[in-house]
Amino acid sequence: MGPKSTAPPGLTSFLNILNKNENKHDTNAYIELFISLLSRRQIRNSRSVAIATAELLLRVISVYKWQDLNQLIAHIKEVGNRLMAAQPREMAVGNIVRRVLGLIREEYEGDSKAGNISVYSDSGLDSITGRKRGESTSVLFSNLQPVLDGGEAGLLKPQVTRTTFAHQGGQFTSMFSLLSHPGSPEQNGTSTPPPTSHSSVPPTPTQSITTTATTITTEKSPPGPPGPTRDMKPGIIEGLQEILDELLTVDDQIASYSLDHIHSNEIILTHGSSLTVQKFLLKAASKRTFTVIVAEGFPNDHEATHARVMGFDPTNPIDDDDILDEVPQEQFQKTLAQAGISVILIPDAAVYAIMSRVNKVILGTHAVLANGGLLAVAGARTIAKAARDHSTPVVVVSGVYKLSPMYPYDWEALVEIGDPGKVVSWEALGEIGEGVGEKVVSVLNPIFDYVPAELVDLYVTNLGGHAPSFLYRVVGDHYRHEDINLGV
Amino acid sequence: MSKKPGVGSGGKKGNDDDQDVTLQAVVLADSFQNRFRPLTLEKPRCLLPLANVRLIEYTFEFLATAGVEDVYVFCSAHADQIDEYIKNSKWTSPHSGFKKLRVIFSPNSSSVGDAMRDLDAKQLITSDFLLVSGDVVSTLELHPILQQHRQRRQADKNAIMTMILRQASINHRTKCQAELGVFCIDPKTDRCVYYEEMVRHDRKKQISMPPELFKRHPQIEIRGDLIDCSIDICSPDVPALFTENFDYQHIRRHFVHGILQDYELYGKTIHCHVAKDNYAARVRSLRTYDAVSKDIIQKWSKHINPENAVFSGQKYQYQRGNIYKGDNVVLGRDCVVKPRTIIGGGTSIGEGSVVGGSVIGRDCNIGKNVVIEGAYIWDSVVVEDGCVVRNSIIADKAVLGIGSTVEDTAVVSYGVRLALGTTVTGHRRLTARKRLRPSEHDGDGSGEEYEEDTSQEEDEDTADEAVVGSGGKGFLYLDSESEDEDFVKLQDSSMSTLTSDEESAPIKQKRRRASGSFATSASEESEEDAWHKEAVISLRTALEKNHPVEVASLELNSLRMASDASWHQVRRATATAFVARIDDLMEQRQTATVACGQLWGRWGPLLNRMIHGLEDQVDFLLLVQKECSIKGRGGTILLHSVQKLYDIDVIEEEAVNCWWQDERSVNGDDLVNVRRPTNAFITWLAEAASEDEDEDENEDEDVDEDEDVDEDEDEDEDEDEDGEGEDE
Repeated sequence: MGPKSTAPPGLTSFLNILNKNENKHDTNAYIELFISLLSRRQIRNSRSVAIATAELLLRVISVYKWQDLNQLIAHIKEVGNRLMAAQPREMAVGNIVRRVLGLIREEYEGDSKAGNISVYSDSGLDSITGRKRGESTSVLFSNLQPVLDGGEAGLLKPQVTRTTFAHQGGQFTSMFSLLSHPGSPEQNGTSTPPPTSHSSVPPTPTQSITTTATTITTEKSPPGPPGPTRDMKPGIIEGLQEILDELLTVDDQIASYSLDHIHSNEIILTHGSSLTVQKFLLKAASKRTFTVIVAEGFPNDHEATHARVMGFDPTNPIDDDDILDEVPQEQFQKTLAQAGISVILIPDAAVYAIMSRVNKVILGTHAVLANGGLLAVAGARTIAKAARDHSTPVVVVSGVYKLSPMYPYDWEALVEIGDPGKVVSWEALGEIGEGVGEKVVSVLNPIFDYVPAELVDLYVTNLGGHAPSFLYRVVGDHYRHEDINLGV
Repeated sequence: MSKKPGVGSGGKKGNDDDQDVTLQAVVLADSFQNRFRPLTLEKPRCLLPLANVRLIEYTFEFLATAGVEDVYVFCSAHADQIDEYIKNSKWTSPHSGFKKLRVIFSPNSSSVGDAMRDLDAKQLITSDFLLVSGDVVSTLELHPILQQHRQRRQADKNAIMTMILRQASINHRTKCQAELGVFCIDPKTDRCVYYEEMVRHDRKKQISMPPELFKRHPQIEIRGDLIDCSIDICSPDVPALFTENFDYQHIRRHFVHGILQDYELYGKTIHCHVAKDNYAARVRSLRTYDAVSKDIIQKWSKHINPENAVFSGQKYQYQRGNIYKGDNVVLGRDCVVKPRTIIGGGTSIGEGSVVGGSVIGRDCNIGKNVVIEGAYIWDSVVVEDGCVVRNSIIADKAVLGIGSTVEDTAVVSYGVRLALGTTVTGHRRLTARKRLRPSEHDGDGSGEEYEEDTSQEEDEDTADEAVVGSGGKGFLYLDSESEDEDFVKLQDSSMSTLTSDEESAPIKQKRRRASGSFATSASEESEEDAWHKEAVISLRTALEKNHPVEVASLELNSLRMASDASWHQVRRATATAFVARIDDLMEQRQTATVACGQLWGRWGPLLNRMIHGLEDQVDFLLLVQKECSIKGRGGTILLHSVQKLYDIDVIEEEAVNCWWQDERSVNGDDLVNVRRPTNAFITWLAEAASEDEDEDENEDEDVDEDEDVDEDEDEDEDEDEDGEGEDE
């Protein structure tokens, strides 16, 4: 949603209120405000939601006084649950809340590392039974259920990992970071690492336990005396700042991989108005020339897409607050055409016809799910399917903050149905002639599509490229196991 | 706290306004109508659930999103319930977005006009405010509209009001079909230059605009396609104007119409904002209740849909086909939930039941093999096995016994219990409340008129067993308006499933029928109308050109005899012509006293020729009252007319009293409202009578004198007196 002449309630207005800090100690007011903005869809799209959530939690934590860590964790969980209940469709809320919880735990464990050695040795044994328990319950959970631990592929590896850790002590945080950054020494410098891995060196042993072991009860009330909490607040806030930095720079980080994926004279198909995709392509355009075909995403996203492609005057923003994946200052992006790329804008219906000439499909997302499937602007599935028919590779660009530990047991329920007024104007209803019973004309306007993992070939996140089947590891690295099921 | 921060990167224009002026809103929690009866006997309209959320929540939600900070809720009927509800709602919490939320009791208000006068008297309004009724569902963004209004106000103080209208189409389901407001708008300035309401059941097919409008405005859009959801931005002048014109009752029919018509007098202008996107509707009747529910279920209402947890305590799981399921819903085996359905939390549905296109409330218990289609079932309702519910409303805690059928826009109100196998169809409305007025007790019997197989075995205590079956609980609700009109209506509007409800509109026509006991078939009626028109025209020419009384009388008489019209018709034509003439004179800025005085005074003898006794006098007063009720200044005209008629002894004191007590004169809001000003006169009359006995004698003498005058034309009258018989 662009800034309008009257600054409607939205991310900008929310951040302004937060920054004004008028009633600093009444964080409940901020929470209520955010909840109302979420439920009214005045803040929508993953990035805005993620930023708002992180900023809000920053305020909450900086004001909240706690005796021991469990209290803080319980408080954050409670806030998180309220926020998620306000708008379950915005999964970024839950993602950020989980990451913050992980951050807190990590700080704590870093603090009381010394007293935890005994626990560590126990949990290695516990973990196997614990995992089994976790998996059996997960099947029973309805609908939207977090993946308790990886899929089939994951079953073996973590076991191995853990035993390795048991012997190696605090050298590596997880096997995954070895795999995903094979010998890349620059990782500490460039990309903002996942909070569990590099932000602090010492806490590793316990951490490896918690990522793999599933004895939830032990984790919720860690043994040993509560650590010296006074010192921890700055650490947590610092960690949150890192998350916020990540949110602001994530697109540029993703874009830095673009030259690996886009080659000269390729024809790239993309869809909708995703800013991540835009930056990705622009970065590639700085070195290479290629052609971009843009499917417009009618009826929800076409105005924003047109704006992206045509480069509207930023002072006169497009009047559409829907799925513009952006924060306001990014209105000033230059267009692909200005970067010397030839751009072809097509309607969604033409996608299949043109697919035979396309070398690569690049999609943006709304949310990525733990099984490697994703939610994206409606039309994405058609494109992915057409690409599969033509064996065209599909690359999905997405910040890690969009990666949710949820598993889509009922994906139809994930697809949000939006305002039918964008398809047929409400005024026309009278003429449609509302029938009785079954004879009613139903106008459906799905906003998102669920694209199953098997239609995606590669994910490019701010951490690099991953196969869809490997996302569960990224999940495991970013979210603490005990936080996945926030609602419980 | 939820103040619009206006500081955003783009918020340049008008920030200063926004931050200085807190936006006030006045919510009229009372609808001042009976359309939802008998449901509204127990609860105010704004607390009825729409898609399982109280109506007033939608209004508050709209106000909160619009950035309103001070809210005044005006209550009259069921004020305690509204107060109670608001106190316990989330809106009183500091985080709700409202800084101030006050409930104002105005027990004596019986119309929007009264409420506005009360508002003016209380001096609560400090700046331009938003006037909405408590049954608005909207997602409109108010900021730009408000900005426009303020700019207009700055340029011209007299731009006192902006009406916000939603563009739709003329037959739109969400549009109230009972009253069709026709807005004449100058598209260049968005100014509304003329407004008239076409009441559907008056069969009025035309509006008449003063020709000089077209001189002033080269371009005028005449629009009947707008949904008027009663969202107005008003300046403090608006309540003041209501106070000035104490006979204004209705904000559109009287206020807007009157102010626009008397532009020369007041110099105030009213503007329109025609919204082209976002949702806006008002639940005005059962029919629009149905339509708005559908809009919400099908998500036409943007972010206001059950899936978004906008309202507290609302939590639904969305399923394909616009099915929303609350928490702890239990669905039996083989139970089918068809699209467009909301099922509230805690409800269970038994095996083999089919539910579709309906809203089911919380904690309902639906039995096995039940069919529910297009129905609105509120909270804690029990529907036992094998029932069929179609296109009806079942209110809280009602119980439908095994195998009952409720169909065809029936309404089953709170706590009614239908016994085994009862059938309720055909717009019947059941209530557990006993009738309050004795006249309605009589009405019970008259129920037989339209339900032949209903034998009248009335159990005075708990139930009308003919309706609810033996062992049931509840009565048939009979409106003051009988039902036959509804049947007619249903036939000519195939639009919607719930049509029986636009009931306040047919009053006028009904009255006409009730007072004259003739004219039942349509053709006769149209003949009568034709005669009426002709007579009115002839009389009006006479009045305007000041013909001698004799000439006019002769003309009227010959007209009457030519088509064998009754005296009642003559009186009706006279009442129409005279009231219209007085209205015209007042338009030319004559005071009501002068206009009424002159006209009735001069034409007194003519009246005496058509009024032959007490009954005729009452009849005439009723006719005048009815005429007045459709005029903007009706109340004033009526007051002065009655007074003058009494002065010149056309009407006797007894007749005035009879009329005042006649139930036909309080039949419907308009009639009640129009006679309010006259109350002063009645009181005066009563006092005078008790003090001064002599007056009676004088009156008698006067009447005698008048009858002497009558003798000039007696021949004519004598001939026709057979028809009217007992008059003298």
